[in-house]
Amino acid sequence: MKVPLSWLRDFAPFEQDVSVLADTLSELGLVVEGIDRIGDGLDGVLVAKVLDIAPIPGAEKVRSITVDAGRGEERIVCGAWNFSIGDHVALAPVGTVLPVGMEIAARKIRGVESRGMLCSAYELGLSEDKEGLLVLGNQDTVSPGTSLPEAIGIQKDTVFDLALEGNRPDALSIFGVARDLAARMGIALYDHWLDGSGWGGWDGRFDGEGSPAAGNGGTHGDDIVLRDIYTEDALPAGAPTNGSVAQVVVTGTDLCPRFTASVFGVVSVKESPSWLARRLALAGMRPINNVVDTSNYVMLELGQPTHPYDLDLLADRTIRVRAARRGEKVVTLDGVERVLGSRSTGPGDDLRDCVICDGDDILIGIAGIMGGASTEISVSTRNILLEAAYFQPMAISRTSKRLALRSEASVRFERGCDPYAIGRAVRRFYDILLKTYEDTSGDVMASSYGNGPGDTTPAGIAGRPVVYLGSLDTRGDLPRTVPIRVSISRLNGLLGTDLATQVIMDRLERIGFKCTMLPAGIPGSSGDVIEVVPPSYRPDVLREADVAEEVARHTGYSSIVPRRPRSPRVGRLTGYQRRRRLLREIVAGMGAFEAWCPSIVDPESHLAIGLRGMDVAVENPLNTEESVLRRSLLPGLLRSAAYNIERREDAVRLFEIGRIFPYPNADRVNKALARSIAQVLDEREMCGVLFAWPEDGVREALQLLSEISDTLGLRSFDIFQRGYTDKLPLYREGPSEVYSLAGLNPSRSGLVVVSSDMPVYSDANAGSASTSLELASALQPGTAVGVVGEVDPDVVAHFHAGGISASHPDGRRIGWLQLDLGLLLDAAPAKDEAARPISRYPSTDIDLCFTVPREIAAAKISRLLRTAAGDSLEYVKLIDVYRLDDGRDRSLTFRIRLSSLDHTLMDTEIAEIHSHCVDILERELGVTLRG
Amino acid sequence: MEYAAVEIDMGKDVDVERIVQEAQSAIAAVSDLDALARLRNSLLGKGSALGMARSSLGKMAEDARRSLGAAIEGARKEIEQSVDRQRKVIEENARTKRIEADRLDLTEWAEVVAPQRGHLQLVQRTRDELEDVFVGMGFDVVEGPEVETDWYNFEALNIPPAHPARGMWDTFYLRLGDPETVLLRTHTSPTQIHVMESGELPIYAVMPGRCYRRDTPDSRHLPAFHQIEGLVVDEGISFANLAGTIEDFTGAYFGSGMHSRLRPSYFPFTEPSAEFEVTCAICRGEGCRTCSHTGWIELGGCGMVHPAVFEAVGIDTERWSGFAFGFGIDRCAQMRYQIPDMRVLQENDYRWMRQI
Repeated sequence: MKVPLSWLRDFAPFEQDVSVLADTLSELGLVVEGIDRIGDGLDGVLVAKVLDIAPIPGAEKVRSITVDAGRGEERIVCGAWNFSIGDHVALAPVGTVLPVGMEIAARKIRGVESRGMLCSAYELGLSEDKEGLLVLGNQDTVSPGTSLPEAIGIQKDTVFDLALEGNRPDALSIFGVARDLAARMGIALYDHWLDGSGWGGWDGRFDGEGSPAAGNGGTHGDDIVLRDIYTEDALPAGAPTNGSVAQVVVTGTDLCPRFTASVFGVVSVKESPSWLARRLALAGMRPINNVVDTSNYVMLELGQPTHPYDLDLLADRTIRVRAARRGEKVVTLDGVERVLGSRSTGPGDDLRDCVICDGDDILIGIAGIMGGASTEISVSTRNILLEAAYFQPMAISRTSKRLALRSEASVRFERGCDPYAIGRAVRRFYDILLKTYEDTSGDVMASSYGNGPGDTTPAGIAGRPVVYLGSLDTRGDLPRTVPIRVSISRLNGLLGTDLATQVIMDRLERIGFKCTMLPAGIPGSSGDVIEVVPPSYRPDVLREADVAEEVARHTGYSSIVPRRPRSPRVGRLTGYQRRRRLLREIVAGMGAFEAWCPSIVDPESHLAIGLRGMDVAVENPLNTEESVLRRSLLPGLLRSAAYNIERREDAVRLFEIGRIFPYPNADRVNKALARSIAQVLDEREMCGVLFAWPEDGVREALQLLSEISDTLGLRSFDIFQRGYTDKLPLYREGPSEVYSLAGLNPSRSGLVVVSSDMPVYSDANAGSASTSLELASALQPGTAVGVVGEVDPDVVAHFHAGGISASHPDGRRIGWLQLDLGLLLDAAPAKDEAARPISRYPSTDIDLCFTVPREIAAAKISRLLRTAAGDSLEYVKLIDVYRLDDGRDRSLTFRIRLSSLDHTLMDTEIAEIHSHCVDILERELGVTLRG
Repeated sequence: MEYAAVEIDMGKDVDVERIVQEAQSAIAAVSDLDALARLRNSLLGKGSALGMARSSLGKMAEDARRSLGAAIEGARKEIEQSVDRQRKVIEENARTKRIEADRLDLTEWAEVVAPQRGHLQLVQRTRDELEDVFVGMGFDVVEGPEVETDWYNFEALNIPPAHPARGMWDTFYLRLGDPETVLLRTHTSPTQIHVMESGELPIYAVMPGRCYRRDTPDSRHLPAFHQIEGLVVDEGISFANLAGTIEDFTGAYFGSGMHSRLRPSYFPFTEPSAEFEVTCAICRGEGCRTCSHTGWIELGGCGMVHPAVFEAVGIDTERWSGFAFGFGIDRCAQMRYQIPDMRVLQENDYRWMRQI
């Protein structure tokens, strides 16, 4: 909100330095986001008369201008063309610093000395107009050399741009800001605002207004409230004969708990005087005519929106306030047709939009948001019906959201205006409107300025420009302020302060709170309880904590002394979190870059990798390409790999640790909504690693798997691959996405499964602070924790991640490893932690070379060799693979390293192990030594 | 080089000194080890001048024999030492030559090699650093779901349905359950509710994680972003404790000389509420364009846990009080690494990631 300092000074003597005022406003939570110093930098700018315009030889875009700025002839080089000889323009002489920050220096342009600059309105900070120079229209009255601010009537001012929070409707007005600022600075508002005389000598109330705690004179139980304004005087034109000037019918007082209509006659509708137009412009509103401008002025000043209708354009001179019917349409003042009640804005929305209709029940506006074009004030308007109401904040908020239509009025209504200060706004409207008819000398056209409501002499009669013809006021159930009991000791405890009761009460009373000390001994009081009644303009203050904030604000947050609490805990990451960090280091250590891919993806990306099952869809995606939650990390990383390969990166290795979102069953969703479980989805944190390496990426993926297993101290993994291990038992934990081979080459991929039932991590620190993943217990041997292998070449091609080039004519083989971290880090079996002794005697190797059909997994052979080698085994390692010409068989060479803890192995022992190994392979698998 | 034996005239005096001098200059002229060995033999062997002088000793008178014998022995030692010295010189020269021939321009390799290690993602790294600071202050690190119900994301946080404050967050809703009941969390605050619901008190926890808002991507916003939330619930926790925690964190994370300040603000789930600002890292508080000449940069929001939130999770407000705070991890990274456009974070461009 833009707040001119000159306007603030209407209410109290804010004479402090602008920076002090700005800091104080910010400390109050009325955060100053910008300070605009109007008229600064224009002091040196002069009115100059154009005497001559001459071309500069060789220059097409600039000309040499001779001007008279009261200091003799001066020559300026200028690139604008929108003026001619005799025009008055603005000259910034050398040394001037313009509002845009530009410092004017003498320059030589195209060989011509230019001493100063002729300015555009933009450069002068006067408007956004950058096209051409500012050409002044008052050649006759202003002589060259006059200072520009004087010539165009600029008054210096400072405008604060405030960012206001949603809980402070009271501060959405110049007066509200002044009230808060004055209280904080210990400055009293001028008396005439406090005693009401500033509001036009009126007490500022309709009957019964101003004392919310006392009630509102009886709640209307019925839906329909009907009132007429009667007048003894005839309206100047077209007045109904029965003396009724206007009618109001409110249907549904829950949407509109208070509606007032006041009728004024005016002699004319005209342009606003400059003081009014200037204030509106400074506050960021466009002047329209004196009636509309007055309504806006009052809203800016007091925070109460009003809406003026041309009474004679209202059918039957009647206003009806009701809920719109579904699908009803209205064209608003901005010329847009709006459809009402059309779309839910969220849970709790009853789709009721409050609208204003005329006597024929034709829509003429959307209540509290924007009026319609049909009844707008025009130069021919003579009778005004001024609406000043209190609309239900939630209803306005929903309608504004539904129509995607916000206005200065709707912002105020949805945050909550003061329902008990409407009369004051109407009175202020009358006063300001009357002032718009004052002539320049300050005299009102009328002799009876200030008679106010109750004086019903028609407009124009006895020369009076504005006549008040009466008001009516309908009320439903208005919000009431409720006394709050505040314990002084608890308030000090909450803030960490030691403020005296009197200090607290003073601070609250300065901003309109009524405080009463409660006697000791009342229930719940330990003798330090005060009762606080917030003012009706503070609907946000409902309980003790709200009062505490007000005390803190007016004490100053910065004067509360910081004291860090001592945590009784020893801070530590959980085992899962520590191991996840280690995992990231391992993967990065393998040369992979950590990526961050979107979690909201194109459903097509799941189809492209052949991932079956349902996607969780986003109801309101930003675009259709990104409309479902990902169920695999593969597409995102493939896309990133393609991006980098396209930019000629040769070795691309990427990884990501992030969640996937499997589709839940309906039961699970219902349970989560009924709050019997805490999580809607079984979100799984996965680690996906992609090796788009010129070499075969699968090898790197397996190398990484082995590094992970070793570094994290996991026992070991088996690879379950189609064609090798179908018959082995397989336990599946969690959703199918965890062990889906979608997108992988079927003959070159497999599941990573736990190969042992060794004990799981025991982690005292895990506790409830572990991750969200729902794991019952230790994993069974044979449980899949992820997948490893090569990305299907067709998928690679689809994502353009193959990078086919001269050096890789067939594209890359992309390796892939995806692990479920919940399974891997929380539940995977760990190695036995006890260290084993090592042999002090020499070791011996047996190298065995077998002819192995391709259907038999190498891992199966090494497992058998391990069994056969017995206690003396150090390790079994596959040291050579040779594909035989027939394409069916391979030659695999295994090295078996043997040693004993207590002696050097003898030849006979070694020979025995050798033959045992050979025998067992032949017997179990029919595999023989290569001849 | 061969050196001719010096003829010793049996009758004449033997000039030992001259023999040594001539031997030494001969030795100094030798530059390979084999020649040196040969020269040594020829200087000290039987046929050498010294050798002949030694064989002549037996015929000499006792006195002369003793003095000449001593002189010969002295000369032999001297020649041996010269040979040894020369051997070392030759060996040293040979080594120097060999080493020099093997010279390597180290910058050649330095230019050839490139880092083999990968890099951790910037936001993740920033998150780790933030976690470490809070762990050091005695906080646990807790993670919550990214998909939440309306209850966790809004209602339990004192934002009832149709509350105007919901307009503060542009929410992505999911097509699950009734319309607009399941959503992508718009902030990490729902994790507070999970933690408080678990029932264990006191609580000292930070809750980092990914959040989503329906913002069209631009240089400062991505639809997905990362926040870290803090929550302390204990007996006697005050606003002053909140200010102290923020101040200590600021010094620990941003460095000494960096401070924080609180400004009144509004969040439905805290009361009193504040936004917190930290010393501008660019100008260190002097005032610059980045901080709009205020010397401060807004980092996040905080406040005392709203009693309605405690009521929603069943925590007794008579006994317990607490504070919460939250701020953007991405924003910390943006400030620290001066990233003009956040969109680069999701491009995963090697050229960019490599330098961070």
